[in-house]
Amino acid sequence: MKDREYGVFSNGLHYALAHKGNLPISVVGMTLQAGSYEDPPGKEGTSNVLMQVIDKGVEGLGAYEVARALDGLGARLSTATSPFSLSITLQVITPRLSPALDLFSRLLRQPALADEEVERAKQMIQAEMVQARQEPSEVLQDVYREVLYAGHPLHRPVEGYFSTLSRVSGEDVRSFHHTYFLPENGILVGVSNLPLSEFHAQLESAFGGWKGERLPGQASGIVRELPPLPGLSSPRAIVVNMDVNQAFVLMGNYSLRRKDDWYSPARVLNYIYGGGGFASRLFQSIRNEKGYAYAVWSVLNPGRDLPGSFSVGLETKTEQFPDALHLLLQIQKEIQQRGVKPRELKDAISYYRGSLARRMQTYGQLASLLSEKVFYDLPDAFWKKEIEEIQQLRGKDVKSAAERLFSPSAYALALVIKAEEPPEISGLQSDSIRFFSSVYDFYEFLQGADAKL
Amino acid sequence: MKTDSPVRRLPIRYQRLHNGLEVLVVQDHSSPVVSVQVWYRVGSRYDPPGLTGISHFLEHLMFKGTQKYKPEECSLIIQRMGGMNNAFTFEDATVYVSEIPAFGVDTVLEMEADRLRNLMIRDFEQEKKVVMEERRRSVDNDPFGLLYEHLRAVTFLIHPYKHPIIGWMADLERMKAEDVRQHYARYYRPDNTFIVLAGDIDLREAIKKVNPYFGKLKSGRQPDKKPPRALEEPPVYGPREVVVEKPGVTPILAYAYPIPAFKSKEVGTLEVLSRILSSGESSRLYRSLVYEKQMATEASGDAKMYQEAGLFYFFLFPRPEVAISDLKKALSEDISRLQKYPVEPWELEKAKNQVIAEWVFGQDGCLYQGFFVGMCHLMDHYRRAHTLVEEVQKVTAEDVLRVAQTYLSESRRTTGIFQPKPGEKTGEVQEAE
Repeated sequence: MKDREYGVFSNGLHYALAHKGNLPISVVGMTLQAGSYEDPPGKEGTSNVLMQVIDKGVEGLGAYEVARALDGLGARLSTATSPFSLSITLQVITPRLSPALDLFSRLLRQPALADEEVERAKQMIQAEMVQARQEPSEVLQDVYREVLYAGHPLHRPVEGYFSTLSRVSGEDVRSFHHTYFLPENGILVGVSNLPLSEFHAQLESAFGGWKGERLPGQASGIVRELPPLPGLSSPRAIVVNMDVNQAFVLMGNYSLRRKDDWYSPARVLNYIYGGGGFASRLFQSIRNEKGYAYAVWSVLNPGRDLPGSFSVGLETKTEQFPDALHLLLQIQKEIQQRGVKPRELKDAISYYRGSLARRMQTYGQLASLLSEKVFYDLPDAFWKKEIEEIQQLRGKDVKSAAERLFSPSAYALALVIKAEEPPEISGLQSDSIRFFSSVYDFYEFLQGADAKL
Repeated sequence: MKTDSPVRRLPIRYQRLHNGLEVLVVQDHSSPVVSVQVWYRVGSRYDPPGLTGISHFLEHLMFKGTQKYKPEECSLIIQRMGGMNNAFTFEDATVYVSEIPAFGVDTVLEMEADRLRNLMIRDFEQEKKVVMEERRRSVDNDPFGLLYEHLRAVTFLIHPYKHPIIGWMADLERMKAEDVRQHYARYYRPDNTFIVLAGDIDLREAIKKVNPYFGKLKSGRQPDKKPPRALEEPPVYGPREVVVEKPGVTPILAYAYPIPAFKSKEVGTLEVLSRILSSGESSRLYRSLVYEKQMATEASGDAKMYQEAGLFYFFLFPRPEVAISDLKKALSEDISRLQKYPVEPWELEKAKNQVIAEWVFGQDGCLYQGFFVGMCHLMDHYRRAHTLVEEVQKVTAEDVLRVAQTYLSESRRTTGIFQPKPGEKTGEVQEAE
């Protein structure tokens, strides 16, 4: 009996379903291929507001009634917003799948998106923004996005800005929904203990007849023009002064697309460099040998339509920041020149091989893998195929990935630190460092910069 | 239990070794993964006076290796197998957790047995700074964390549950390596420990694996030193209040009430009461104060039941224009309604459905299965894992009324208020455009 199924319903909705039989659980997720990138200019944050209020009422039911119905079924609903996708996920015990799916489908297709709920959501988001601006690690994320994507729409936070959020109306949110919540923009994934045919029938009944509510004259699908990423040929930095007792650092560059043929060696390289926790070079040298930082890591984020990012983060004592930065760049150069050690490669391969079962253990994990498969147009069971690919990797493959991924002489650096004046940073000209004397000044600049795009 | 119930009985097996170490196995062959969990019956309530936070600090130092293993080497070995490991300390226990492919169980057990007996206290001062920084971030700089800490400290007058798990800063500062050595020697013993193996393993195989490493360990090097006796809280003679003033953004109002321990038969009813009152957007408080009266932006709560006592609490974030005194008044009305009239049948059913669903979701993955069984065994007995959901199923509206009247009375309440003081200007003003 097959345990996975992929296809497209007659309305253009892509689906990926899997059977998993050990527990009476069903997970159903919908990903829309539109995100904060599509927010109307001057109203950044619209898509995020939409995802906050999508479950706050549907025709005939108010926000409280929906919450009561979902809680009454013991169902969990979660939403997420990113620059290029919006997702909403339902988890429910299978005996209650049918009524839960009916409500889930109605929320996606005909949410109420009432003005009062939009206003409430905006206030909540703004309160969270104010809170986040007190947190150095949260501010750092915004600083990093700005220095990495300066001048490009990707520099803006998915939640928008305080002022742009104020301009978002209920009508904007409803219009966003009409424009982008169309079956041909959607990816439906589901994992259940139900037989696949029965699960398919339930999902088709819930979503197969969905037509979407296009605006007059609206074409189907998303027409997205993506400007190329800004050049990054030399190091540049943004430094924000904040009353903190250590330096918060994020640095990095653009990386690759998920379907690029060097994704597997880049993944292994990231593991060896800083993504592998205790096993990584950064952890061993920067934390264990030198004691420069308690936390140090790297993250590889692949993109779909544009290259993604490769980022290195650390939290270090203010006075040790220059040495820590020098060392993490030095390690990049070393790997570019000499490659990784055979033992490091062996350990990384062993990690990926052993972790496969853990990565697909739960219903939610399997649903995420299915979503990744469709969103990035990957082959069936890509998770196994990629591990097979990783097992074949040689040192030269990883070295070659290091030559492409690392850029020790051209990177974007975000620094949140206690500093009355711009600090000197080795390797950076003073005119490539932008300094803000307060968090307030930084956000004021950020909104101004966005208005010019 | 009905045959069509989504609630399955967890297949749990138990064995006690001659040295007092207990082994619990939760079999689930759906995935070739096993969670190995070593539960030490020592948490923050065992911290000696003046050394609060020592159990949690010891948890950090347990990753610093033995004569055989270098610092963090065990984590590296687990990672090489594709697994992960971590640890957490709470009021009643310290738990070391690994999740690994089934072939790696022996390796993890060998390493765990080694650090049960042969820990070397290394990098003490460096790790102390890490813990102090953790405290700054999670408590001192977090309004919610700070208020919760104060709320507990005032609700419990004498019981060690009044102390934070991470410890008071002054205690951390004065802590010496020798203090931690003594704490380790006193509590890290086979007869004060149980192991939970959850996932792709069966009992016979599990015992075969545990015995060579743990079976040879002698119990108790200092058998005369028993854990401290339970401390009974004096009666509550009236409401208490604590106000925390610190730079921040939003005020917070919290109520806490002492409730019985996990062993009590009231667990199911308190769980149902908490869900009806303050769990989720359909709860009474959310409906009344967020949707209807529009006095708060958020309302949530929980009923936490420990080994010797419990805490029923909820937090509210008032809207900027709402005075705390008005919010308190509105809250009192909602609570007194709960004490006067039985809850509606649909509310009761909703709460039960939530509990059942959460229970089923909690079985998704060997890690959480192990946590659930381990928690039941620590607080009471592993068999409680078989009856907890049934206890919830049997709760009636009259039970909820009785429990609300008994435990949520005004005289038993501790009120906590976080009152923000103005801080640095951070860009919150609208005219920034």
